[in-house]
Amino acid sequence: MNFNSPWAWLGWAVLVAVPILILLLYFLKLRRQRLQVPSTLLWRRTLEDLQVNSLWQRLRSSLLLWLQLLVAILLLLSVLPIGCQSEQTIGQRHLFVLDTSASMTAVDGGVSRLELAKRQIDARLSELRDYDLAMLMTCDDQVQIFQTFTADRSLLRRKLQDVTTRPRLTNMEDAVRSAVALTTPVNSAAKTSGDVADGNNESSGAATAVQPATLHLYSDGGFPALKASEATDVFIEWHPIGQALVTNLGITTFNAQWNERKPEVVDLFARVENVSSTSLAADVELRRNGQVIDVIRQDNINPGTTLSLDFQDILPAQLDAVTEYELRLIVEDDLTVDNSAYCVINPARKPRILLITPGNDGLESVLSTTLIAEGVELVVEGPEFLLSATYQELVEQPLYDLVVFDRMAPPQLPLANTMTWAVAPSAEWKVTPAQPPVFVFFGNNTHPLTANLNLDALGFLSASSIQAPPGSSVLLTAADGPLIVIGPRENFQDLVLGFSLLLQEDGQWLPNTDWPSRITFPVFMYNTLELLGRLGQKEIASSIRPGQWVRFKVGKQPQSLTTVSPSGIRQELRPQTDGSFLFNAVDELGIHRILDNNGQHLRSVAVSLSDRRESDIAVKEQTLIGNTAIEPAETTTGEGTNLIWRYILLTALVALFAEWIVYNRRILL
Amino acid sequence: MNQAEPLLSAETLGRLERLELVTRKIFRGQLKGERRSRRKGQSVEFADHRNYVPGDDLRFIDWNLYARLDKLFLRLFQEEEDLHFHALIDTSPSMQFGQPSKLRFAQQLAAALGYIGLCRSDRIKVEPLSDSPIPPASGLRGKSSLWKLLQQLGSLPATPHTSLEAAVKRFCIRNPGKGIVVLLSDLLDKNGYENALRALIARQYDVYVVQILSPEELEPDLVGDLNLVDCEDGEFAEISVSPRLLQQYRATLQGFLNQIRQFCSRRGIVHMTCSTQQNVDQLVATYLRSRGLVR
Repeated sequence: MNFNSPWAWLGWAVLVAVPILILLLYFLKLRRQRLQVPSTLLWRRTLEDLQVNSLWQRLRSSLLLWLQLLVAILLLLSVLPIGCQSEQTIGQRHLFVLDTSASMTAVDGGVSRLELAKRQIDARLSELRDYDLAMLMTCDDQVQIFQTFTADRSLLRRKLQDVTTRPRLTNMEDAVRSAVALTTPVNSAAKTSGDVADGNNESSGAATAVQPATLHLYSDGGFPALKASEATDVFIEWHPIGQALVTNLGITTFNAQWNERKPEVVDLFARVENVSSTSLAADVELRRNGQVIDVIRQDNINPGTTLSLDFQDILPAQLDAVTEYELRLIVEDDLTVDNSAYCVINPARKPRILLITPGNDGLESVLSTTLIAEGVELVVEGPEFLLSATYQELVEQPLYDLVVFDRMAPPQLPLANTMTWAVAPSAEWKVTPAQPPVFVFFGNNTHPLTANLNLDALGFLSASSIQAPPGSSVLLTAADGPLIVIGPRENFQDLVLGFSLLLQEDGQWLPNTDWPSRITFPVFMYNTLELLGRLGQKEIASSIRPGQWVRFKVGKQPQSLTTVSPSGIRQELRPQTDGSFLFNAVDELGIHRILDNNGQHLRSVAVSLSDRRESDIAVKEQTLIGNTAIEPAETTTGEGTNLIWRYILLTALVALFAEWIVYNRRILL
Repeated sequence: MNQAEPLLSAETLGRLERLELVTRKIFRGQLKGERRSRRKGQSVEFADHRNYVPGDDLRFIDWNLYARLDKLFLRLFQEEEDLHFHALIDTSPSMQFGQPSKLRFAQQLAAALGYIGLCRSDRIKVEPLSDSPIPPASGLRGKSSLWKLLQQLGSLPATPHTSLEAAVKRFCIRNPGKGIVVLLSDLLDKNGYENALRALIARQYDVYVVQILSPEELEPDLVGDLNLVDCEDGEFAEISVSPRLLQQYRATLQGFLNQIRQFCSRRGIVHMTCSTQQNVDQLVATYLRSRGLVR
């Protein structure tokens, strides 16, 4: 038989302290009554006789003390959920799933929904029997297990107090699936035995014979209907949190895009929905970089209606600074997190292209066209560059987006996308000896590089077929084999062409093909720069939701960047192996700024909630599991039932103390 | 008991007149009294004969014996002497406790014993125990001195903290004669009582110790946590009253009394323990008679 003690050391310390305190009170004689006697001769002799073992003699002779200690200990033990584990004691299992999504921050009853749910769970915990087991999970767009099955109510309550909301969406489906996985008999039994084997005594109170679990969902119901298959073997109780009649106006969409006809104009588009039960009036503010640039007053937004808003803003065509937009609703409603939405326009970054060639007019002329030259940062190097230390840096750091090797194989592939002409870039690639003449058999019209390009009529005086590593895609095929192949390499792609634009004859470089004079060549090159060099990528960033990731690159590859959240929290970002940076939108709405080491503002990331389901905070009358409707369960809302024992205990201790004072005549009644 | 009441009632006086003080020793008195002495004197009770020597008083020659034996013999008679009775009363602050107070009880007892002595023409002297100089008390004799005796008892000076030993030694120095000494005290002197009693024994007094204790000392009725303060020296003792403490106190008290009793019995001192709740008349008539102080 093992005692299950749910109290932590602090609780036990309090338990031990109470009897000790009573003992100390017996020895702390604060004030003795003075009494004059003829002589203290006999009393002092008496005390001397009693001096041996006087402490224990006093304790032994004080019946009141022992009674007080007995009563105090019994009172304390009575409130402890201490039980004995035996084979006959099999408790029920309860799994509490608490919705912590953005809608739970709504204050529609004088207190936030999360706080209301916590109180209900706390009250429900008090109603459980001593040997019942309970588990606590939270869910928004992620599922978090705060406490596995335990009979320790105080531990559960402590964990419950740690739960906070996050401005995220609700994914109750994952939560229920996880809960079912944790509570189905087979899985739970396995988990229980695993815990015991690991020495985890928190779940030592788990019953050896697993009982069906009850799943308590504490949510406002802002989630889609659950699939029936996800809710088998468990009994689900849905405890709706909040009220059906609410007041809320929320921004459900806020986007920006360049105007297709006017390059300097940015179109901003927003949707505002009234999910209240009454009409609302609101002011809509549009701010650019913190300054109000437009205000729209909407006096009467009817319940259930959606308001579409369009704004236009003019920005310089060559944008060189980050532009931040904020749309703000000025309205008094129950949910505030959806009253603001954000988006940003970041300046376009010029991709860095490195061309290593002994000289190639056709290639250089294409790269020097206006469209490409204005969009990229081109660096041309000779063959000797491959042997320099500078090239070694390219192998170690992702300094370029695209490196073009013209008729020369690199000693080591750089940390960048590559385009290699007429040679194999690495040992994984094989290039056969040149076979004259070669004609294109067919081109790959599905790949972005060659889509919509008619390359069938191309001919080469000399060309080689390519043997590519697995996973590569053939873009152009001749009779003897592939002529253009693109293959993956970790985070990069290698484009290999089995021919060159020039052919050496009698010491002179002559044209190998007429492809440069065709329209398809600059288009192919542009596609290559666009795909492998990220040329012309639009830098309008719509807002992302909390918890989502965003990947970006900056001009010159810095060692690290710094993100600054709207509340001023700084965080360091390290580059990935491909030179890009990954930013996780943490649970803070607003615009997160990204600075370089010099403090220069490089770009921003907008984080907004903008979700209609989260804005719709009215509690539903029922929720669906499959085709079965689940009615709201009766909830315990009173907090008195689980707190009364504390007052009784406190009263009993006070009564004991008062009795002790009266008994010892420290006060006169 | 009301302090204004007389120390001895008329009925008590009547009963006391039939008693007399008894001493286990025969002392040389200064005046003729009603007690036979070991000495030959001039009383009416024949004691012996001896040969006549010139110079003897011719009035005591036994002429009948001379007629029969033709020799002169002198008739000797028992000498009758008076008895010196000293009542030493402890008047320290500790004697003020009790209801009636221990001092009042001592005064009544001393008055009763003194009246018995006065009735037998003994020399009665009542003195307070004091280690500081006080005016000497005059000896009293005869029943007519009863009121003076009562006056002396009623005007005993209260003394502060009194050392029993010093007070007794002072008494011994001032009273070199012999007789009965009745010490009326609670003997709760932290310096001890032994030396005081030894001093009296050394003077060959017939010593009676009447230890007077109040009911509060014999059976203390205390509860709670107390700070007991000694009325004489201000010393305090912190106690938490419990049955065990009271039991231990009673054991300590009994040990203390047995110690005194043993000390006294080894030295021929009669020790008596009295409670202030006892009736003085009955005490004198029964208890003191059984202990041989009166008959």
